Amino acid sequence: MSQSTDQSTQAEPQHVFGAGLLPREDPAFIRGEAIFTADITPKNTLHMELLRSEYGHAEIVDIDVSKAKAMPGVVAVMTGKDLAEKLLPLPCIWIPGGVESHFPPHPYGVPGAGFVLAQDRVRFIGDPVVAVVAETPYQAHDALEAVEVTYRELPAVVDPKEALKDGAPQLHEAVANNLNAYWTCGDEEATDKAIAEAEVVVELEVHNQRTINSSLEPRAAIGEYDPVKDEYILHATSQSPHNHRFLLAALVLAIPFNKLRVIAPYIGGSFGTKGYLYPDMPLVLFLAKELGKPIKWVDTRASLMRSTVQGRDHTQQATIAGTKDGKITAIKAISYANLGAYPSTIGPGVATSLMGRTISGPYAIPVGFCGVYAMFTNVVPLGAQRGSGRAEAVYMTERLVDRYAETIGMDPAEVRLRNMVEPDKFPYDNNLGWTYDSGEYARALELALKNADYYDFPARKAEAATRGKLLGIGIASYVAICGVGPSTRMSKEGMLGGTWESGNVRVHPSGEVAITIGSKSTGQSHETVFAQIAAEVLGVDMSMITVYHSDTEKAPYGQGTYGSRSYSVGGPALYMAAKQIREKMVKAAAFWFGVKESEVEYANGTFSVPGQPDKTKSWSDMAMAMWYGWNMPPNMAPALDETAFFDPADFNYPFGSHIAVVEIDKISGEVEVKRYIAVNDSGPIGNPVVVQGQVEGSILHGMGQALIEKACFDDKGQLLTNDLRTYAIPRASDSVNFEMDFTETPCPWNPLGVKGAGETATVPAAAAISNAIHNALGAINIDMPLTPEKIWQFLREGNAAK
Amino acid sequence: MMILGQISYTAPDTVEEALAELAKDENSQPIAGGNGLLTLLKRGELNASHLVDIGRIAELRGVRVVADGRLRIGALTTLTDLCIEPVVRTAHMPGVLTDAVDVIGDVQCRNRATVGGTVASADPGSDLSAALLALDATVSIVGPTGRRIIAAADVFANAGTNRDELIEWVEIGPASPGSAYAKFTNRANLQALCGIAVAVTLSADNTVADVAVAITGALEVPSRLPSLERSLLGASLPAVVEVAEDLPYVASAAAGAEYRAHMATVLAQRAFDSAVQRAQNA
Repeated sequence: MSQSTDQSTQAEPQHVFGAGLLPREDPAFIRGEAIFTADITPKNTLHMELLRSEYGHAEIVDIDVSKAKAMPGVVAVMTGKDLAEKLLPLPCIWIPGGVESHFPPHPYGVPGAGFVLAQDRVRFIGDPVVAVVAETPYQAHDALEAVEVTYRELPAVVDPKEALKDGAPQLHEAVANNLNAYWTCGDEEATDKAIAEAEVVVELEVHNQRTINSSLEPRAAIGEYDPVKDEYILHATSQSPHNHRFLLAALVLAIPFNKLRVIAPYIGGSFGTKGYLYPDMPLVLFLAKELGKPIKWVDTRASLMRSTVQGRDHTQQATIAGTKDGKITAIKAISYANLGAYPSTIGPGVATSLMGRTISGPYAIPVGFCGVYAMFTNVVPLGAQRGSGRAEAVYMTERLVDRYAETIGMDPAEVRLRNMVEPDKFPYDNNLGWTYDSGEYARALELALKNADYYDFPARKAEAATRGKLLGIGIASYVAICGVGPSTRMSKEGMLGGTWESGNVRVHPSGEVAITIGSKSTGQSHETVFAQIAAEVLGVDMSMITVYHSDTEKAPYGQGTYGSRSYSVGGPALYMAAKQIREKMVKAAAFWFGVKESEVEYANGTFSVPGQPDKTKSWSDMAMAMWYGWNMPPNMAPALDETAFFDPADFNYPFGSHIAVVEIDKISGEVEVKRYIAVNDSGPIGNPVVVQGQVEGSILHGMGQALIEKACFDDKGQLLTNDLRTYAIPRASDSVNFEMDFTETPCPWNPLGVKGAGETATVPAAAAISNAIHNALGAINIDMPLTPEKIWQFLREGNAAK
Repeated sequence: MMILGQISYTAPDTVEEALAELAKDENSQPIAGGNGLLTLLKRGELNASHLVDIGRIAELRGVRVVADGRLRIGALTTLTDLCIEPVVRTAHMPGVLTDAVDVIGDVQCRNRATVGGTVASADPGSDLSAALLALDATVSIVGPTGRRIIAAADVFANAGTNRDELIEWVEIGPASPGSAYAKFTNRANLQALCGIAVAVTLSADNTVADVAVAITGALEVPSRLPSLERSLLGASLPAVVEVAEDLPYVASAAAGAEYRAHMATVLAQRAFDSAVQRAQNA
């Protein structure tokens, strides 16, 4: 091994899979050289701006665009009426599985998700009403202000519980009582019986507040139309370019699939938001053909905050039951999920399955039940946010487990250890619909306890008290379903689409390697980690491998990046394609050497037969020979170009335990996170540098929800936290010294044994911080965000304060 | 909206030219660092069709000691430069200034923000405002009707300078031996939900000979707290500091009035103790 400290410069690591190589794409990001969607402006581009609703809920009485049309540089002004016959409504493709559900209509019979531009009514503050196209973005912006919309404001409802009540304002004609679905999992009768018979029952109402996804890069879309080929091209901030192509072509534009090409340039963060369909995408394509010029739209931060899908937003009535000696016997939750004004592309599935089936956490709980009222209200549509569904469930469960431990007077670590699924019980059916793949849950917790010096905590707490500080320690253990997933299983879960991945490996005549993947990085370093898989299998240096992705014309089909799936679903596909290449080369070498395949050895870039020095061929000689194809073995085609598809047998279930230590100023209520200890298990890790970065970012995300973030709407649906002056997000300065450790339990469902990692550490983070604060205060339940003001109120008024 | 409307721009070399530019167009605005102004323009909270960039006016630069040991800070001095200015760092020892500047925004923000621009925009949660008040700052303002030199407190009470005026310099009193600033931060915009600046001089018998206390963020306007100052005069140490609970504290989604009132006392005690410690170590 090289002694160099810069691991990326190592000539040929022994194992490149698992090596902490520095991400190859990062220098271009840091230097500002990487091309993002907003950096692209085709020749003759026109610029689009969207006028969004001023109201949370209103009828559109009249739209007068005459003044706007007369403004300098304005080329077109479009209203919903202009588009009604030309663009179909957006579809929703993840419906609550296995139950009756109700959606806005779509003419093709699929669930609808609202019009591209509002027709006669606006239902949330970001609903697009008018599109203006002009020669410059400034002209388009100025013209927006000249559009005159007359609204008649309607009563609004923003709270999902209120939305279900009789007499509540109604959002959609096809959806009675604003109820998209009442979705359930588990056995309610058995759960209620276990609760009724339990020695100890603890109840809690948990509010998982709504958060605003704040990626560094706002969304953008550029539409082009080529009249020669009769082809549309979309450049967009898309984490699922193939899916966007499929949905836009088939269900929104109603054009043949082969007439749309989607290209996703580099993406500056997504956290789930950029896999959704948004009205701007079909609009730029439609207008590009209509006006004969490329159409560009770039979002602003303020517009992002009222239109990009938002996260969390459950009100959970939770119950846990158990024995006095710490055995959990049942868990139950009834939750009101706030879907917002329209079902986002996969929002209803996120709010139901991903949350509900996850509430048993890492514990072997004999019976459980979760019911979710998925509600429409006059706020921004709900979608994913890093760890979506699972973070909401784990927050609730881990608060409950702490309350249960407190009630029976047992150490919360001990309660967790007593209830965790044991290593010999896998695959483990959690009674709520998930089958956990593999794990050593207690081992991860024990490691976290050791790293946190957990059992010395009382002494440290006493020391802090002498300084007027309240020290608190909080544990959160989790299992987070990832790696979406088996396509058949997802169809039963309500997903209207496939969830497999693909990978292609092509060896050039020179021996260099092109790998092309169907998934898309939104910051996960695909160009590094996928190249590492190929380098490992093919035994070639990283510098010889180029990674291609994110252009539907060039990349093999894939389903995109979400649910921490790229590496555990796309990784195996690429691994299989690389293996096919290597096997083909070994077969050809055996033929050319005149030996059996088993006699060919491939090491250090050379195919050889041990003991026969005349029978050797270098990697590049082999590549050239395959390219010429002059003397191919019987039944073998020339060239090296292999594609593999992978659809896992089941999901994968990363897990772990986090411990936070906080210090609270007794007088002011200010909180300082003193330590954060994280033990995560994502199976074998392909690149620890990348995963460590993901863990840090994930924890900060969770800390944001626990301490500072909350999207606030007034009762008319106006967004009060409408920019970064009013909505707080964690900053780099909020980072603490993350004490990270890993255990490694392979997943049996893929050849690499890998599990999801990109979002998993978000799942327990808010709970760990919150449990630590509650521990410090001796509080029963304070809603997030746990601000100093709320903590001060508690310190003053005690548990009566909420 | 985050897109600027159409704006013309000029960058004069002298104060005289700048004032003439501002006078001839009533939709003009002076721009220095631009941190505050550009946000207001992009969010549509302020309209301007003409920007007069005062960044090239040499006479607005520089920091020097003037009569009575007062320090005159050119309006274009950036917050970063203010803290690295040798005359500020060594001779003047105004701990409260560097304390306050250190918690304003972030490094990039402080590299652009100017002392004059901060005073002129008079944000109610400005950290620098409290520090300047505690240091008895005066401000020289030039405009169409000539020059006026007024207390910083008056600038803040009037919500800043007029559109057609420029700040030439800000002057602060001779350094008190001990001063400090303590803050409770708005986690979204990083301004003070409550900030307290204290400057203190101690007598030989370790009592308070002179003290100035200023508050920012928690009231409509950054202000001195004269009744608290009177109660502290002559106090022996350690002293208990209490800010009156019945001041007109502001309430917002970011923090309620009661909590700001509570934090005013917490922060005043912190800033006072730290100022006293510095005075004793001086």
